[in-house]
Parts: sequence; structure tokens; C-alpha cells
Amino acid sequence: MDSYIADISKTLTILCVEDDKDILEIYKSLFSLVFKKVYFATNGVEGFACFEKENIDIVLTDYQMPKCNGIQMSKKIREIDSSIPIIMVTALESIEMLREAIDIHVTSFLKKPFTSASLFSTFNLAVKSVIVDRCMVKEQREKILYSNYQEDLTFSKEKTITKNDTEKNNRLFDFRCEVQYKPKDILSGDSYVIRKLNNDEYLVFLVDGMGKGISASVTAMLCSAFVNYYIDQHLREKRICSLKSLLNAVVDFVKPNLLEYEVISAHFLYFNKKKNELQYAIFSMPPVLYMLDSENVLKIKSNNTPLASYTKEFHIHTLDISKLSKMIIYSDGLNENLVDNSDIMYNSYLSEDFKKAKNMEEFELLKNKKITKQEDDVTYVLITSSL
Amino acid sequence: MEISSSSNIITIKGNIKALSHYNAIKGEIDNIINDFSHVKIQILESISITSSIIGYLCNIAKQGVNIEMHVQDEGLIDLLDDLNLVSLFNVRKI
Repeated sequence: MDSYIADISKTLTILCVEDDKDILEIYKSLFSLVFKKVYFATNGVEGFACFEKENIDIVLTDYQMPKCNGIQMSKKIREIDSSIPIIMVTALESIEMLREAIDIHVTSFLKKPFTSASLFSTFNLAVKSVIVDRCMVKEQREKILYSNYQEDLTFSKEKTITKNDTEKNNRLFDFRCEVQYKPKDILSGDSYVIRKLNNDEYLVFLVDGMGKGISASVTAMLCSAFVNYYIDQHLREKRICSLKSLLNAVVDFVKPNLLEYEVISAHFLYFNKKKNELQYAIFSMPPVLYMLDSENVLKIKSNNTPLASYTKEFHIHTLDISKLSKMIIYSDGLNENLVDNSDIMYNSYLSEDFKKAKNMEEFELLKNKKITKQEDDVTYVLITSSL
Repeated sequence: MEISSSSNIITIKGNIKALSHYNAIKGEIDNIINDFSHVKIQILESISITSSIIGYLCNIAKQGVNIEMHVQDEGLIDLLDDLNLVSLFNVRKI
């Protein structure tokens, strides 16, 4: 046995199942110095009981034994552990026994009578098999740890980029403002920014990168990070930050970073309390739903095609919000999610649920009655008058 | 989803949802626009369309390809209208 194998063997346990007490004594004298711990059993029943109770790394078993033979015991062991090395000692060369042993993946055979050299040669293989198994388990564990670490870090980064100035008190002017940000995977293709520009103005920005996965997420995060940078810079320098200037800057910034077929969908909403107006530029996003002082749910449709590397101009429109009572701004993960056990999109119910819900909690309850399986990243901003 | 084409017309049956659908549709249209500057897309049954396909169609429209989209599902027409794509894709009801 080479020194590496010998060192590893000293960390392993072995179960020896043998009805011949003389042979058991030989095992005891041979293995006590080689393995960390040696367990003994005189038949398959005892052997299996010991395997269940102790933490065994290698099994050495005789074939012919009273009560339960080596094959019967190994079958039970395989039901619990599919990879533990099992070495079978036998004087027989029955084809039927060999076939059964192969079926249950007995690792090696030792033909009686055997020499100590053949015994240790067989053990070398068994120990190597344990080493490979342990390395694989260790590698998998490390991969999972690394993946979890990356996911936690990525989500923290996303949360850092998605700034929300209404988060502390959920207030946007006199309205209640609540946000649901629920990525389907850790890397979200959605992102949002809600910023207070001054006492009279707020920006709500919601972006949805094209497609799914890392590319969409990187684009969405880039856009949000830039919008925050742009606003922070203007706030620091006490400059006026108009929607038009912000849009020009975002378009200039994002264009060189887009792939050939890549487009971005986004809501840019500027709320102005003094003027009681909402300026908006919506680039192929689902409509904003809102209610004034009546029971009707109204919608603001996109007034622009998606943002792309070739975007040169955009439209900004204005809405009177003097009588606004509630509003919902959302990504397509909300309205295009299929309702459970149907081919109908939640879009068919959204307007009614929005109308009924007084706040996000109520809206979630209504929505979750129809949808239990989230199909895409979901982000929405719910603005209600009930504080 | 099933896709077939004849001349400059492609017909899509079933719901458009997966990445493989995007690849299939893009492949068919790429072939058509090699020979035609006008492509007619018939969408039967589907209630939605993926953003990847929207991105691709916007791009070829920008390159001068004339797109005509004939859609069966009312919901999808409303969706395209909400997204401000009716005019760009010349959406019509079947």
C-alpha cells in the first residue's frame, strides 16, 4: 500500500462480515493497524444492522453465511448506499452468484484462499474508489457553496442598484407607494428606480431587458445604475432634471451597450405635484393602469417603440393627475403570467383586481388566488391614495 | 408551436413562448428576407409574443423590411397595441 493510500485508509472505517471466527481474527490483526476503525459481524443480519448504525466506508463480506448471505446483505446495503465499495470473499465460482453480485455492483471479489498481498491489492482499489467519491462530494459541495455565494451577492447588488426613495415611509406625495420586486431567478431582467427629485417631483423608472438571463439582467441593471447616477449628479449640482434631458442621456448611454437585436422596454414617469401632471415616455411596456375619481380603470399605453441601438427620437406625453386615486405600473411578468390551469393570461383579471385592491397586500391576495406559479420576473409599483 | 412558410408568408400555430420558438421564427424570417423585402407573418392561436421576437422584428423593420402581421387572437392584438407596435408591424386582425 503506498503512503498516500495508507494515510487515507487511516481515516476510513471497514465492516468485516464473516462467520468463520478464525478468519475474523485474521482480519482484526491485519486491519486494526490500517483503518481508523474495524467493525465485525458474523452474518448478514448483524452486518446490515451494523452498517445502518455506524458510518461505514468499506464493506468486506463473505458470501456464504448463516441467516443472510453476502449477496442478500449487499442488496439491502445498496438500497441505502449506491456507491460504497463492497468486497466479496467467496470460495464458489457459481455463475448465478456472480451475476447477482454484478447486478448489485459488488466492487471486487476475493477468491478463498487469499494471500495478504491479494487482499491489500483489492483494498487499494476500494480505498481509491472512496477517495474519488469523497472528492466528487467535496467538489459538488464547493460548487453549491460558490453558487449560493454568487447568488446572494448578485441579489444584494440588484437591490443596491434598484433605489427607492419611498421605501422608508412608502409615501409618494400624499399617496401610498408600494413596490413588489420579485425576480424569477436571482438574475433579474427587471429593475426599477423611484427617486424624489425635489418636494414636487418624483421619477418612477421601470425597465425590462429583452429576453431572459444574464444579458437582460446586465442591461436592466446598467440602465438603472445610469438613471441613479444621472439623478444623483443633478441633485448634487442642484440642476433641474427634466424628463427629456434624462431620456436623451439614457438613450446616449445605453445605445452603444446593446446587442444587434437587443431592445429595452421601459417606463419613464415624471410626477409633478405642483402642476398636477404626469409626464411619461413608455417604451413598449404594458400599459399603466390608473383611476381618477370614478369607478373606471383607465390605461396609459406605450407611446414609443422599444429602446434600441438605433433609437433617435422619442415621444413624451402629459396626463392630468389632479384627480388621481390610484395607479399601477408593472412589467410583463405580471400581466402575461398564465392563470393556473388555463391558457388565459392574468391580464384578463388585472384591471378588476387593481380596482378592488386598496393596497399591495390586498392586491397580492387577489392575484395569488389566480396565480401560484410565477413564470417571469415580476415588478410592479402600486400607488394608492389610502394611507 | 409549429411554423411553416411559403414564399414570403410564414404561419405560426400554437403559443409563442420558448427560446426555441424565437430561434425557429428568426430562422424562417431570415430565409425569407434574403429574397423578399416584404414579410407577412400569420400568428394563429398565440396569445403572446416574446420580447426577443419583438427585438428581432424591430431590427429588421429598421433595416427596411416591410412587416405585415396578421393576428387571430384579440388579446394579442390588444397587447401589441399596448406596446405601441401595431403601426410598426402593420398588425391586422385575421
